[in-house]
Amino acid sequence: MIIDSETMKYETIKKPAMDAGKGAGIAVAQSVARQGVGTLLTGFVGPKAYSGLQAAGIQIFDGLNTMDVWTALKQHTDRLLLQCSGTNARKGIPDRGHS
Amino acid sequence: MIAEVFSKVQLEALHQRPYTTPIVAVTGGKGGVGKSTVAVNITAALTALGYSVALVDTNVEAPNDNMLLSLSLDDRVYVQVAMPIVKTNLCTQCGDCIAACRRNALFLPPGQTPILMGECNGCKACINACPTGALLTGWMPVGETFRSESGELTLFTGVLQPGRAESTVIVQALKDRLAAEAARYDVIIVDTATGVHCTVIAALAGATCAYAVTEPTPVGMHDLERILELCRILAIPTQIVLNRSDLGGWQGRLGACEAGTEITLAASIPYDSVLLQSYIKGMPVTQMSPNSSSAHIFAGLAIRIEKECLE
Repeated sequence: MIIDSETMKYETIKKPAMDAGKGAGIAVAQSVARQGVGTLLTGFVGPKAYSGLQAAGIQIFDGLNTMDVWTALKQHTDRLLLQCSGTNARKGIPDRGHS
Repeated sequence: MIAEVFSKVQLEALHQRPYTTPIVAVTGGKGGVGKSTVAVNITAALTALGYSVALVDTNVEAPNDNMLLSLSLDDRVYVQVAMPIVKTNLCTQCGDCIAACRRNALFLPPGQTPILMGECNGCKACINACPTGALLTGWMPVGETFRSESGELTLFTGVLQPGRAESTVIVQALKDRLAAEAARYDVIIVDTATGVHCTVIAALAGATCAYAVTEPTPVGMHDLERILELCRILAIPTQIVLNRSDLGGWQGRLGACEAGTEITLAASIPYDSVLLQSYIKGMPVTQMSPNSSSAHIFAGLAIRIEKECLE
């Protein structure tokens, strides 16, 4: 869900690479970056999505999985949210992959 | 019985190889049943019969045949796969490479040039998709192959770099390296990894016959059924070697595996502390204690291979 914080207008986009065997996190980060997003409010970001979002200079506020979108937005506007340090993101299970 | 998976043409392509030296695969499904022990000992028994043997350790994530033979890993060759290198001055940030990557390994930050971020498997799709030639082919090492010699025995070992996923690439590189000199050997013994996955299939490709090593435990018998099914799909004649044959208590299950098939029990190896000692010492039991019961069983297996594959 992408919200213009000036006008509060929003649109929703489909999560890409839902069925991707590999690199789903990077694909999601790519899709978010392509939309020109500056700030991401989310429940959890994986390690690779985190790297992508970082590289794109997007601010991440995580741990919001139990909060509805408008409450999260209000709390962000009121500067009550903590920025994601990446510590949680790196907790993901190391991906050994398959060939 | 399951349906045919491969056509005759596909099977021929899978087993195609540029040499005629017989390949005996030692496999087995479950881990820790004694595949490497059997492979090393039949190799030693075949060299004792005067044959020139190549032993191929395709257990690339944890190769240990060299330890069981007390051989050092010599003559290293690096295995590399392709990766894109971005020439930033030629990149127009068009995003074609991002779209081409099936593994979403490339990331294009807005206003910048692509970064290789995910798991690249070296397919070069991005390099081919780039309209301006901004992606060059670089090479990243994913592992090594080694070649060690000891008399009539030559050991080929593949080692995957920890954390990499390209185990099948290493097995293929190992077999390619062997192919260059395969004609000089009388027989090739391929020691496969545990399981029934791509790496094992790559190791089994081209095999003249296979020995499925297992133990009479619930998991041992379950995994035996799976490896026998794989060998049947790959049309490789397979026989069973039952290790620690007097332990576990699931010997009765063997009949079900053999029933209605041409699969036979080639050897039973009862638990033998001498065999364990030879494992610890890093010397084949056929050399360390040639008169032990285990050594006689392996010598018998070698004669069986001689009769079935080498005449």
